[in-house]
Amino acid sequence: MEGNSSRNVVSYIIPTVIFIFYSFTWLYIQQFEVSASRDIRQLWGHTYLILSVFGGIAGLFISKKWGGYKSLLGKAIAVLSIGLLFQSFGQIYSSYYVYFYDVESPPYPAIGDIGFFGSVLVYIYGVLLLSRLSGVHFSMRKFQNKIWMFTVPIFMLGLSYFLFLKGYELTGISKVQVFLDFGYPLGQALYVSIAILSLIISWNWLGGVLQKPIWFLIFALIFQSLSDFTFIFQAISGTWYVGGVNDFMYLTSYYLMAMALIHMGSVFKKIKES
Amino acid sequence: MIVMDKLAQFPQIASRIIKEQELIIGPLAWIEAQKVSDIKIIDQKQGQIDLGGTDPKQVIDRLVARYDRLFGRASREVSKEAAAPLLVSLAPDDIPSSLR
Repeated sequence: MEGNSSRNVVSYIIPTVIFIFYSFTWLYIQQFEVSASRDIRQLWGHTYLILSVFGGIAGLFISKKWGGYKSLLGKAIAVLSIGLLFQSFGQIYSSYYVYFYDVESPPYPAIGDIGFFGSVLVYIYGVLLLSRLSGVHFSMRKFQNKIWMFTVPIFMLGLSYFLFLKGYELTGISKVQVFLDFGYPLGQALYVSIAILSLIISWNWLGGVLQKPIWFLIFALIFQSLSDFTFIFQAISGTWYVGGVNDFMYLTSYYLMAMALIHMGSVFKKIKES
Repeated sequence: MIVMDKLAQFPQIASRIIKEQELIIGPLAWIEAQKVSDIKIIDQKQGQIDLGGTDPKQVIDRLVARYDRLFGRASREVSKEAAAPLLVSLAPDDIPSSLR
């Protein structure tokens, strides 16, 4: 029993130590000029993914406790963990490319987009599972909630379109790039709108011991989408660089998601022993 | 007063609720059911349950409340939906208050 509890504490400590270490080193790097700190920024930007790898693997083990693919909660945890691993894959490929081809950032579209875009699709599925857990289908009985159901996604998709895609020129761009240019912002808008909807609608339905851990997972997903939107914004405006603010946002996203997943493991233990 | 044939419905109601909760929280649903007094799990795979005590309605209420503390109202709705097909044959007074 004591061994289990110390293992539990360690599972919180590891990602926290990693997060603190990368936060301080990020702050340290910020004092240098962007052009003068290329190597150290690349090193920082290509290694913090250790947090998403850790969170993803830990999440898969925790999902098994909750019944894995045989239960809704187990499936949601597994899917969100796979999302983290997809992000890791995208970053590993980008790091490999930048390192071996000596460039500032990888080409687009590239193999890494399988991971990045894959994570968007996986998060859409994950948040749909979380919304079912939150009792969204029960709350649909209320007319007012049906209105939310339509307005939130339409608003988010519209906003995403006007911010990132208005006036988009199709000429001279490959079909894959057009697909991804539309897929990223719209896919992210879709999963963040389902996440926001789940929070609004489940307010009166979701309760008990699992209420806060599920809201934590949803919050982690919303933060992830903020990082993704910031990436698109900076990429379009040409202000994105390795080790910048957006990379720090991704570090925070991975930390939040890893902690939210690990917390589900602790909650399982707490319920089992109560 | 609950007559004998209707009494046989209650273990089935409990079994359906546990199985439905299992689809949401996995094997923890069975662990939680075991903690409810007067519920005896005979065969988890077959979903065979035995209810002890004098009032099976109260046992069902305790089971529903056990899951309630995990997910709140959403959990109660899952229990209600799971039991609904078996409640039609019961008189309104025989239906456990948590499932009304």
